[in-house]
Amino acid sequence: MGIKKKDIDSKLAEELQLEAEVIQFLQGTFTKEGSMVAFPLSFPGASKPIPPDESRITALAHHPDRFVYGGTSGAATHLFVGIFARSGGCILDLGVVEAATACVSIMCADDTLVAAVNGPAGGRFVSTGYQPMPRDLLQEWHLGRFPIEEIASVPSGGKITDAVLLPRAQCVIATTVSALLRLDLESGDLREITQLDEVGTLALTNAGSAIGIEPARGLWRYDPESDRLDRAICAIPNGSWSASTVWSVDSRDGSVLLFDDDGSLYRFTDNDTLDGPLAQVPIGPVTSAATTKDGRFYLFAGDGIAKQFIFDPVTNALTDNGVAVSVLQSRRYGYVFGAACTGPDGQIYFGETDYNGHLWIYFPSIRK
Amino acid sequence: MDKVVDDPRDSGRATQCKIHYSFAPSYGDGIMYMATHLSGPPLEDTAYSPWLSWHDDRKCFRGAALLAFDTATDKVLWWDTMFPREGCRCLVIDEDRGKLFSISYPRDHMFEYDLETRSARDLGRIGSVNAQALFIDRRHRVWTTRDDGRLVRYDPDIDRIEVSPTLLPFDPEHQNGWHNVLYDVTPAPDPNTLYAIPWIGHPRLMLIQPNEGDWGHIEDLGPVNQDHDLSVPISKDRDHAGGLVFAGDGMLYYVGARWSNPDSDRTPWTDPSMQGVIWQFDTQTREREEVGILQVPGEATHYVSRGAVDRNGDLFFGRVCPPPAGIFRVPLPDACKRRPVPRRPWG
Repeated sequence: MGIKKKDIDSKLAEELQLEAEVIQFLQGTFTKEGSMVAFPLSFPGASKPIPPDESRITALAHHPDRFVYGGTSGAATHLFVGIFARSGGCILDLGVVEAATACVSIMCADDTLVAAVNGPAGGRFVSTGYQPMPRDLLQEWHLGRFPIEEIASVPSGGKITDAVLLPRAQCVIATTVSALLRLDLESGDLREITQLDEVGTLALTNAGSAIGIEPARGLWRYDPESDRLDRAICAIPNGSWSASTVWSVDSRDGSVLLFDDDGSLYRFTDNDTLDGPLAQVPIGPVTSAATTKDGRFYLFAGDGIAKQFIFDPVTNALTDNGVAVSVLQSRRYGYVFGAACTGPDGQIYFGETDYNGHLWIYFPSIRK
Repeated sequence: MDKVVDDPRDSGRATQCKIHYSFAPSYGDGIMYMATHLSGPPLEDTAYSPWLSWHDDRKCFRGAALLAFDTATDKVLWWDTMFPREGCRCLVIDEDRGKLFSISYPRDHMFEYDLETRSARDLGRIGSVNAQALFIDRRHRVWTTRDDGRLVRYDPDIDRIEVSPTLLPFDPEHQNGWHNVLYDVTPAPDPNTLYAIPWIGHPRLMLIQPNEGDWGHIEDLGPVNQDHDLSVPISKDRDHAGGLVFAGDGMLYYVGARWSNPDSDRTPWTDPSMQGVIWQFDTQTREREEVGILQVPGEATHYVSRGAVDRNGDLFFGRVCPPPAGIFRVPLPDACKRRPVPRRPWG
């Protein structure tokens, strides 16, 4: 028995219609608003990328006048710089930090780049020089590295949990398993400020202080000018809180955004109050976040395959922006992001904390 | 399958709908290891996206089910969820060391599964374009490809995934190596040699000798299908080849697509005009000959995924689309059945 042409035609029409529906469904999965660009940790076409198992990006910071800097974790720790201004367009591997396997924080001090790293022997602070603007990465270039030098190491081999630069005081405040430390960059002196009940991540306030959380007490603040630690400056709401939240600074007013363990978003203000919850992220954990210049807040949350969410402070709406995908530079899905910072034009840099990690540059949509 | 692994088809989850390139035979004890893959949607849905539903406790695929199937008794000895939420793209067995290696989908991670402890270990992410084949060499290194067309291998001696400095062959006129990931790989009668076809438009047949030198020896044996309009990014579903298999005459056989519609035509790749051409490749002379065309009246026959030889020496080719999937049997004359055929411990 043969198959009639009209039966084939109608079968094909049905297939095409189904395909169109499936495409619409599948395309709703990935980055819906704004554009993501995944950039390999190299100068594409001119250098070899950082080895895949040394390329989990765990720290990012943008120098106010220069470039984005990052640090990786894995089989080895690398520091790198992303040069994307003008006729740039490369990531330069600044070198391996000897005997380190994790970069906890990267900080842009006035004269030097500082990184907090951990290795088998414990935590250390290292520094290296800033890269000058290169000549022209389309025509000719001369790029090189500065040495990476140790500033100080944590006594007794303690590991660093987090570190933040206090720019006015040009000092670094860091946490280890149980202590709060201060590193003076000019002298290189590292001393313990105090022991804390529970230590975790840190943020920089508008006033130039460092803040953190002790879940049993509330937020604490350290002022570098007076060398004073004030504990319980602000109570934290009932809920599930650990000391290691994801912090982000609102670039409009310097207020600090943070999450509890269930994904509720709060804002810490200059009045020492915690406003919120402003929104509830539906999946956890939140792993990276940053704001753009108009206050819109971009974050990744979720285990295994993270999703991007956008918080609009004008409407207090939180929207699901899908799974990260890049179709420019590298064609790639982004599943795990553990670092973020804001660029000078409001672009957000997300560090992919994954094997063969890329630096993802997110360009937010333009508000109408 | 849904009954055996206790994941009912009407559960509301994406279903245990298929086994992809994930049959791995253990020749010593006759156990066929097989692992499931995803794509079938929950019962009430038209399609399934593992990215979209990753955090949906109701719909998300439960995870690839690994089964140990005793081919002597036709019984499932045991099963496990090899890894949660992901399907198994391809599978290979290291029989000597009692390990299975797989590529997960969608996250494209390589996993090691220990048959003694029945536990899985994530070895790391490969990329985004999931390769469709793994193979293993004499040194127990497990090989596959990355998005940019480089071979990668897991070396158990150093417990690390390494990346080749070179790219697999591609057409430099319109390609740059991206998406040149392995589709099908078959061992040759020479135990040091494999033949492979990638999953890319205008695929090329290649010879790989993974045990040679630092990163093996690779030879480009040329394109397997017709030329096409290079201004069109041709669909891999149209410009397809697969089913690599050595028969008892020492020849390499595979099925390549042939089409007559213009390359820019929007006709679906399941159009009945798509032909599956059986090629016979002489590895000594490097010449090939068309020896047959697969035919099903009113249906495309080009999308052959895998080839095999049964104990009688006849060829079999699996056709994936259009549905229903099926198997072609290609009987060979007795003169083509004299030599032993290589064993293939991967899917």
